Amino acid sequence: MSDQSYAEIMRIAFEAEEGINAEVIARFGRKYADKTVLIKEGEVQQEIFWILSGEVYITRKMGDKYKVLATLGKGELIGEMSFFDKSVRSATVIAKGPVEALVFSKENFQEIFAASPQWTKRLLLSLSSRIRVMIERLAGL
Amino acid sequence: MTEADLQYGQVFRADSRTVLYSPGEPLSRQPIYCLVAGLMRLEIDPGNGARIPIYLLPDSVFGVVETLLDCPRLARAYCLEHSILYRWDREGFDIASGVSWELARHTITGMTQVLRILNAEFSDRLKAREVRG
Repeated sequence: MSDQSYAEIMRIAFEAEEGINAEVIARFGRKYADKTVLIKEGEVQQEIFWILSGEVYITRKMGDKYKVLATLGKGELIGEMSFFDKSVRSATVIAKGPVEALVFSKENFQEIFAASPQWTKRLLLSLSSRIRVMIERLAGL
Repeated sequence: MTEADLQYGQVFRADSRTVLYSPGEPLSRQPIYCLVAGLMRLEIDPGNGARIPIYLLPDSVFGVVETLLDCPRLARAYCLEHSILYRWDREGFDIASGVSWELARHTITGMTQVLRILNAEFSDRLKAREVRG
């Protein structure tokens, strides 16, 4: 596949979710069975997940039990905190039923950026919102 | 980062103790900054008098959150040393971060670091409140 055709595929994939085609999924897609652990709390792992279908539980171990903090689904990004800024995973992510996701490593993320900077802008906006929400929560303490 | 990564921005120098912006201020015409040389402190002010300091080293990109959310400043940006910076308007930054992976990566990394610090601060304060009962 030429660089140009690859760039075109990625552009389509990341500008519109419905544009994701078989070639993109073949390269970056992974399928997870129910209850599979995608990310484990306490580990250092630099991968980012983009959920294509299904849902995942975001959980944190509290004592002997796992507490579900959130349930995330299609279109959600997972793992961006440790992906760019090496840190220990702060939560365990478990598949809630069958899940399909695009999984990117640090190496191929640069290719994705080159193909579709829009995707980066979406991430910046998401982080900005989360920072403001956290400042608001701190103000309430 | 190289000059190519910082294109569409404007270089400027700021003396030690210069305040670039303070909480509640509206956005300036060029509200996004990258520290090229020097040292800065960002103080996040949640509005209850307790400032959270974040020290910025060269290649740090800041001022992005308020710009993207189009809201008044949430922090104070303060030069601890004579510093050299680049600054962008939103359109220029969009173009620059759209063509430079390095600029985009430093921006995202800076934001995840801030978020981690805020998360840790929140967790600490929550625990302290629980201990106090």
